[in-house]
Amino acid sequence: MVGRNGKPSIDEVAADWVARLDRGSLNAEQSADLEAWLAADARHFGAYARARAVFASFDRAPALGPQFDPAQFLQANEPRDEVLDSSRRRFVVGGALAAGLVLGGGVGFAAWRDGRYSTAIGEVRRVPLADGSVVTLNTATRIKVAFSSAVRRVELLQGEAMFDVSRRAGIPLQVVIGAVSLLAGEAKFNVRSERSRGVNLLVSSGRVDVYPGGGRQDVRVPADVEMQIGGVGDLQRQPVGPAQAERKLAWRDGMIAFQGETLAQAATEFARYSRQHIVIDDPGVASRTVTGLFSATNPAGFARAVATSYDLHLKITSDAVLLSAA
Amino acid sequence: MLQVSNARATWLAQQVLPHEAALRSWLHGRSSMMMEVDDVVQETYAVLAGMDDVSGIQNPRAYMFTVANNIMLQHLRRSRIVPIESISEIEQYNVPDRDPTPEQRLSLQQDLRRIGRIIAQLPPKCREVFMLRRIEGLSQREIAARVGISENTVEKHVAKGLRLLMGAMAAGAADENPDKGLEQQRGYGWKKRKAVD
Repeated sequence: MVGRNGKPSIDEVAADWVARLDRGSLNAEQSADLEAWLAADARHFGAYARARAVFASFDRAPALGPQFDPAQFLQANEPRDEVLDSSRRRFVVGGALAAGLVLGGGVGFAAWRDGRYSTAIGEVRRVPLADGSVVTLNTATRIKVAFSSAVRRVELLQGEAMFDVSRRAGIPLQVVIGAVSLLAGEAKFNVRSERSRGVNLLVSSGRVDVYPGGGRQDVRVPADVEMQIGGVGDLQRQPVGPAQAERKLAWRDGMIAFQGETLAQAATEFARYSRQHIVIDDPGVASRTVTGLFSATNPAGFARAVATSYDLHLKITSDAVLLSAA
Repeated sequence: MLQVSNARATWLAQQVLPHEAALRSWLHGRSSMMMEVDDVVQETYAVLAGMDDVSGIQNPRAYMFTVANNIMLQHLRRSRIVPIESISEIEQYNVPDRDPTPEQRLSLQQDLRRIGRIIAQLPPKCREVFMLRRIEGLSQREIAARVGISENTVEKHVAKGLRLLMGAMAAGAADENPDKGLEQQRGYGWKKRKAVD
């Protein structure tokens, strides 16, 4: 964009300076020029600071990896309907209100959008729901959303999801995981469906009513409590401190947190997030423990860190990371 | 002398830039004020970049809105021709939004997808240089040697790419809604894409 009189715009000059600085240090004359330009007008200094910020916002770009292919990337990452656009939302809510009037009152959810949402392995996705609630899906997760005039219902078909439920008077949000059913008003909680061990529930705020099925008594779970709901038998509950809860929810930032888990357990956890599996044949190695915060989608990086600190032998192939005694 | 430390640039990138599109649309809504939105935004960054210490700022989004509002007030008070109503309108201001919760913030993966999408939409030459610089981390000199162009040309591509990205950020590419951004910048002759539902 060129300003009046054909002079470059403030943004252009700012971008030029940041590019010059990125090339290397300035000589005395250039430094004096930059200083004079910055001091001449608050907008100059502001545009320059902003240009620096925009450049710095790409500090994470190396994580895209050297094999980053722009064309392929655009195709694979078409913006999806993570956020309903406002015109559509207005239209749909209008429809719901109209339906409510015809039915003679009440808030109708019927016209709100239902659907299925899923994540691929290694992906985290935020799904805002029509009622203002938000569900965040962890790796390899599938949910089905169905809202009717009387029920807000989300089925967790596979995986793990964090629910941030907004209040609707008289209409709790229901989460269904197989035979287990949860009901919540305004609450935040994490649900993980584990095929062999049943359902793990962690409540961060509010409270969640658990209907465990199988003829078992229903139970109310308050904030800062974790509950394991197995296929049969007792429900196990234990308090969860803030630090522990934070670790269990690290996946929302694409991370895995370990606190004394064995390498075997760590390998199992990493297998949820990547097709490249960590393989440890030696039981002596597998029983070593690990603590720290790691990128969930980078098993090789994790293994490299472990190999370095335990002096292990590391072999990386396209679909496996092998750790063994040196 | 005026300078911007790397730490401050990073703070601005992480805490302020993601809310800039919201600030701009809020400013557009009060455009009776006869101040250019770009000017207010630049002066807001000047204040935030010039502060001695930002560690005490609990809610950068609210802080940015407050700074922008004060800048408008100052301008209005200095210019005598402005009707009184606009001053009272600005004085009765409310920061329009609360701080986003972790679930409302972009996840790291979404953030990475956004970065990838923005880079992918740069014009080809610019993009090649920008990728070598920011993804592979080569210096401008190393890029010149690798691509076989002069260092001056590399610098020009970096500047042009950055300028385009600054425009994209203004249009909301850093915002929480990733569906906006470069494709809104018609003037640069970039590939238009169909609107997403």
